[in-house]
Amino acid sequence: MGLIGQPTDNVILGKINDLVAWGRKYSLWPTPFATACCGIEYMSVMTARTDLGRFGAERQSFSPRQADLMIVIGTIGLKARPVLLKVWEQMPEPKWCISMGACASSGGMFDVYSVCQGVDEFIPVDVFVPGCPPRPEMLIHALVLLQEQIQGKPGVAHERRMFIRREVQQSVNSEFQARQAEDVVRKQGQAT
Amino acid sequence: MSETFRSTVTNHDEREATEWERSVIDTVVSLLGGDLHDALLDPNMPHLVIDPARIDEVTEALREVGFSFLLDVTAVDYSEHTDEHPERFAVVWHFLDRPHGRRVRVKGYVADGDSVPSIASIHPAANWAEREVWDMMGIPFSGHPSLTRILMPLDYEGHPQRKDFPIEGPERAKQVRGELQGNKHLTSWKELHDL
Ligand code: SF4
Repeated sequence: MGLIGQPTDNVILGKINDLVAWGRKYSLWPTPFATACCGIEYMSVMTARTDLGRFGAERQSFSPRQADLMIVIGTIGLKARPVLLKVWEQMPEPKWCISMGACASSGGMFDVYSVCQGVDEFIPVDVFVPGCPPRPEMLIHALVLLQEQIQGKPGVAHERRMFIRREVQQSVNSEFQARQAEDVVRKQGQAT
Repeated sequence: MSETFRSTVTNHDEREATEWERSVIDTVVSLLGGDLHDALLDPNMPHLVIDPARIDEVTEALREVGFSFLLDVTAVDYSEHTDEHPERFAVVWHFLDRPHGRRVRVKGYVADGDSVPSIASIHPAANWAEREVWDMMGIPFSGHPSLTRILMPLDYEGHPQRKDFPIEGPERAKQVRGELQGNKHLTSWKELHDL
């Protein structure tokens, strides 16, 4: 097996994963879940002055089924939690999440009985954006960070997913070892 | 009853009742007699303290004399001022006479757990307001068509506007006091369905 002819300067060799990631990161379709004042700031991110379309996230998707990036923008009350979860679960894989503003990330100043203390309680968040509200430039920075993560640089949610995977792996391993030990005991019992 | 009345507003002098205020107070006095516990005059409206068990009669009587618009039903928790108030809670109703722009405030003290007659059959606007009072303060209204929570999730425990309810919510309050270690994170977002 071999290449027919020699690779020239016009040919790039690489992994297909990298190519797919490169395509994905420049064509994110964000769906905004805007509930509070940060939503106003998000609108300005999409306008001409700080155009998010320059980074490929041009197409606003107001249907979660045709989106791959959810931006949670604003205070999430206890009653909005199931709604947010339903929207998130309707999005097809692969999907990413940016939590914009102090409220979405941690409850912010609303440390009260009726507000969800951070959406990462139930959704894996890839990039947190601090600020009340964050400046448009900060959301652009978050998008660039997310693009780096999509290209393979590990981020917050990646570490969290890895952590869960390790926990599961450990519990599976310990169960497997326990079974093996039982087997050994049983075989010894049969042998004697 | 004398012609001048005290005010609920501190540092506000006693004053004479105007003609319409006098007639409103007389109406309620003739209806309730001894069940009118107190009558006060605020700068802009009469303030009547009644036995809350008879609010439905008072509402009807006030409607007869022109106060046909229910502005608000709300409640106050006086558990930190027990020396100044006879019971823990007070339910407060505001009525408006629209053609003349006159208002009346009616207030009734209730103990924890006592129920108050609903006026939703007289003023349909009271329906949601009474549900809010039940949700936030835990004061039940007897005869209400459907007394369920209106602001908090249906399975929420406790009545958050009571003074003894922790402002961060019971879960966070334990964290703040150090009784619960770490952050309560759901390990999977499926768990939220079970909440
Ligand atoms: S972080 Fe600030 S600006 Fe954003 S939703 Fe919360 S309160 Fe509003």
